[in-house]
Amino acid sequence: MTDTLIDRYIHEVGAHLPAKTRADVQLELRSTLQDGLAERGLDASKPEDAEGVAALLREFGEPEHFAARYQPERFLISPAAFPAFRLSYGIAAVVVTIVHLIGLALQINRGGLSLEWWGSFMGNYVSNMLLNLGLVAFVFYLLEGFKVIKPTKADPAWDPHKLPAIKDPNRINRTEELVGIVFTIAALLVFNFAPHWIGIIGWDEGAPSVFPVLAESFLAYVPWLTALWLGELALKALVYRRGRWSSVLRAGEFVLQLASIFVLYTIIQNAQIVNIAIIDSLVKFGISIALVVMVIEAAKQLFVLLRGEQPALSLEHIIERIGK
Amino acid sequence: MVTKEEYPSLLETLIGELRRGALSLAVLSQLGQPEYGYSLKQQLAAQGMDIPEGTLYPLLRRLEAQGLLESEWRVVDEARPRRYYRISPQGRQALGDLTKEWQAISAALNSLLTGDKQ
Repeated sequence: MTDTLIDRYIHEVGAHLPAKTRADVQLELRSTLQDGLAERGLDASKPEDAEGVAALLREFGEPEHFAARYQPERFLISPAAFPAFRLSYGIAAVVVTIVHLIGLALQINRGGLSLEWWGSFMGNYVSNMLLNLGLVAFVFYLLEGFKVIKPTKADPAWDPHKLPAIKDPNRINRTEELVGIVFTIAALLVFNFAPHWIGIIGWDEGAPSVFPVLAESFLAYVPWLTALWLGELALKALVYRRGRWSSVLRAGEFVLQLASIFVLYTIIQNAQIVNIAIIDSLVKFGISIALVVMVIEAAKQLFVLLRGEQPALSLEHIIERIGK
Repeated sequence: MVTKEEYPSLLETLIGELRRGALSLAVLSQLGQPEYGYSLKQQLAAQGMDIPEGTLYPLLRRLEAQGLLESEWRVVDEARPRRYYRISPQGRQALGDLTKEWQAISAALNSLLTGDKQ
């Protein structure tokens, strides 16, 4: 009876071992268990020794766990290959996302964003992302299996001077902000006081002239755009003066982004922008893509806002915080 | 931060990590003469190094696969076949190197733990 218990244990351990080493490990295990029985004065064939045999087997542990220790640690993706795997999956995910965003932009342009369409869109997106994850993991599994990817060795010639600079996400580039301010002022002036300047340049009676292309229905929205641009201008001026983003300024930017998304979506749904139909479609398609990018930017802005300020790493920022 | 209930499990993991590297050295040190698994386990336990069966036998196989041990089946007195392990020439070299490393680590840790600054 207890013989059967020992046999069953050895058999169960063998079931979790590769065929190559199974018989050898099982033979050694049997010999070891017999040594253990002999040392404790147990007779495997006596029913009264059954508890003693069970106690011995408990010391060896569950068969699956015992067998697992004979196996090297296994990974689907090894730690050495994980950074490359993450980069590859990141690239694949970006490609899938861009393809879906183009589809979203086309749908916005068509104006058919029903709940049913969103459901199907999100379902497709999630399934394609998962499919990509599976494919990239499978490719890496093969690459590691065939030893194409090997652990990298430390480079003794590594140069610390090549370390990348620390980026402070709240720090602004004043030149960029200034250029933004100039362009916003230009847009305000042109769209409010000289919208007829926007058009196709041609020749009229031997002299160059501009044929206006902006449709009347679009010009009706210029006051909306003006309000947005004034808000943008005020925000940029504050950011420029302060030299960095703060939570309040980011919140202001987020509100402006939402308002811009609303206004642009309303315009492409309700108005003709350009008098020439084919150009109007192209412009609306361009704005649809811009809308998708703006939604992503707004989501990022919201994430930064909700996350709050991260501990700064730059000395400049630490000094600023101490000064508060 | 682990809870009070999780602490024993954490401690077990930490002790496992602390012992893992030392086990190879302990096993190599005792295999100048051929020993089978069970006798080796007893020998180690008698000197305060109790290694569970589930750890010792796979470790013996691993050290053999790495070329640090040699093994052979023998039938000695009770007509029961036993696998005997003994240290290989490469294992002897590794034992010397690991012993030096262990002594350095041990001295440094003793100094750190007792607060002696040299």
